[in-house]
Amino acid sequence: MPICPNCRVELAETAKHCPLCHAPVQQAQPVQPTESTQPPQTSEPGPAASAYPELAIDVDQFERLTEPQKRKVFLELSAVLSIIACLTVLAVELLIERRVGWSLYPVASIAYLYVIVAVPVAMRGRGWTAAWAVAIATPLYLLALDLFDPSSSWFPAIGAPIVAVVEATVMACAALISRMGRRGLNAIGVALVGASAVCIGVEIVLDAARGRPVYPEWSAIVAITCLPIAGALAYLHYRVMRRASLKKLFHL
Amino acid sequence: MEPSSSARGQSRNERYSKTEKREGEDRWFILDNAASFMPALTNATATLAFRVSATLTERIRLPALQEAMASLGPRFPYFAVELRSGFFWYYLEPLTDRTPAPVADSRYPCLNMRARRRGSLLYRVRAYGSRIAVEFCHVLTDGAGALAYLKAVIMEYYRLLGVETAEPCGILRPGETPSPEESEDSFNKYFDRGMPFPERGRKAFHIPSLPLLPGQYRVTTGIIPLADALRAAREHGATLTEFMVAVYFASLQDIFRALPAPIRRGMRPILSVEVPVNLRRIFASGTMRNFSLFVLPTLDTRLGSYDFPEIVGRVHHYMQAEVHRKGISRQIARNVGGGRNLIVRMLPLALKGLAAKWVHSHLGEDTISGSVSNLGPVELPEPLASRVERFEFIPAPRVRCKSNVNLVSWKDRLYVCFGSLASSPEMERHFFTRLAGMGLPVRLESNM
Repeated sequence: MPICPNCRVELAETAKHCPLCHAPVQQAQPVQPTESTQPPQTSEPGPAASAYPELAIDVDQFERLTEPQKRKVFLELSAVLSIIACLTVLAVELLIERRVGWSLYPVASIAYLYVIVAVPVAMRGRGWTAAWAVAIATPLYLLALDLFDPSSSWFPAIGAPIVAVVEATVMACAALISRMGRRGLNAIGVALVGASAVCIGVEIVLDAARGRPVYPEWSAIVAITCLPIAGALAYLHYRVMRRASLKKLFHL
Repeated sequence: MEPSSSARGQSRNERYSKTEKREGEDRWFILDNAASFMPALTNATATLAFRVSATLTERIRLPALQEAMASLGPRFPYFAVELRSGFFWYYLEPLTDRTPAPVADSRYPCLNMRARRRGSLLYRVRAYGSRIAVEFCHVLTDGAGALAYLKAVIMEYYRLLGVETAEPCGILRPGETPSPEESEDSFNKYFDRGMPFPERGRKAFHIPSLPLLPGQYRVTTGIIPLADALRAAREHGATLTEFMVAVYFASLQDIFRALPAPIRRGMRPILSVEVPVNLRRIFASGTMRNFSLFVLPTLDTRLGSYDFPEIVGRVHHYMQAEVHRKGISRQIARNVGGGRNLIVRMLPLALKGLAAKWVHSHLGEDTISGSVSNLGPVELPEPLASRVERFEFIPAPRVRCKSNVNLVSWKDRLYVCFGSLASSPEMERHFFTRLAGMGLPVRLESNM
């Protein structure tokens, strides 16, 4: 009969794992069969009979959900709740106004929220894939909002370029920071440079959309403020605080 | 004709003693009087879970044990329950869709039983090597109830392996209909309204020791030839329980006297040992719920140092004077009377919990230095007896009274099981050294 290496009990012939501690089983050494109606001859209680297991086991640990199971429950639960919320707003509008109009905005927002929350959870360990998925979902969400209102169209001229600028900058900064050997004040510096770039890009897009000459004004002030600070942070990081890191700084 | 007041009281007691409410699918249970406030006192360490275990002569066959537990489930419906919170009281809800099954044993027994978690049973059967251990939360039952369940498991387990027991000798078997008496609250049954309350205990000395790390619980078992232990007790004119209580007192006194004088002056000078009494021996009861109370012999160290014969004598006379129907009835009157008090009954559960914690701390743990509990001699019919090598009885971990001792006798041996949350094994060392000094051969085992 197989024997559990931890619990030292005899298991069913077909057992692959111990039902008590979930350890893989091993086959017992051949033993002399004993007559079940005759009491076995034993003696002084030996040390093996009184020994305690080596492991401190909390039996509840076997009932706890694993990380993938927890993620699955979260995804399922959040999907069900999102669908219920969408159906509710659609039903309310249909009931009161007998058409579908404003309710599409909360429906799209809930769907987008679900994507940006659920995708990183579902793709845990595949950060860049999740980032690309969210990057695609954002312009689609804005496009949907634009299409819901046929009286005006702002997505091609304003929405899409701004999203492109923001996402490209965020991705570039993330790529740069992830490649840094030692992250600290230099990461904050990169984020400040990225923020300046976004502001300049947004102002350019807005100027172009309005048909005005492209000329950075308020974004230049942002850049003039941020870039020296970014430079100072880089100087501090690489020349002064050689051993500093964000984790140490903020006790992360 | 109007019923007399005593008949009315008896009828009221009968009504209160019934813990099983409704029948069939709607069945639920109330807690017995001793357990009413216990759930509020539990946490991951102070689980109120104690253990009775039997080590068999051969390795456990898990499929048979699983089957034995499953078939015994309906026989003990009052154990297959989960704890629920009502508005005024806790109650027990049957877990009908759950088959009791054995679980893995741990190096540190009796820990991590989450009584208040939804879906958790308040007992578990653990298997390791050739040992079957049942761990019960005190909310469900006491040592006698746990032992009765363990005996039933052993008998059914061996029956499934082809070992039939002709004379079950009172051991409960699957297929029998549980008697209503098994789930009754015998405290309420024997409540006498006219009894005066017992005196309050005085605050007592506690062993000064740092606690063990969270998640650890040291169990030290001393195995002593029963005949030698009984002989030593008889030489001192005491019963085995009284003798062991005296050894515990002597060990406490040794620790107290060994403290540096400035520290000792800051400690409480009263040594006090809780000795549980199985009330089934005093009142006729077949309940499987809690039905034990305790007496509290004390020593006042301000009166001077006590030599061992003097301690044994004091413990013996105290126990003889206190362990009788009248004395115990006063405790029942206090406990049950408190539970029936209208103000207490009207308090919401959250407030009851706070009050219970205060009472437990100030009137319970504060007045107790430690506890010594004797389960007595265990008896099993043949052919089961020859297949069981030993029994052990491990106390529930207690945070304040860190080192406690339980005793159980099996065949020709006495098993003295210390359970301690103290990092220092000083109490165990003093206790067993004293026994060995009296010429008793002691063999020690520990999980740490």
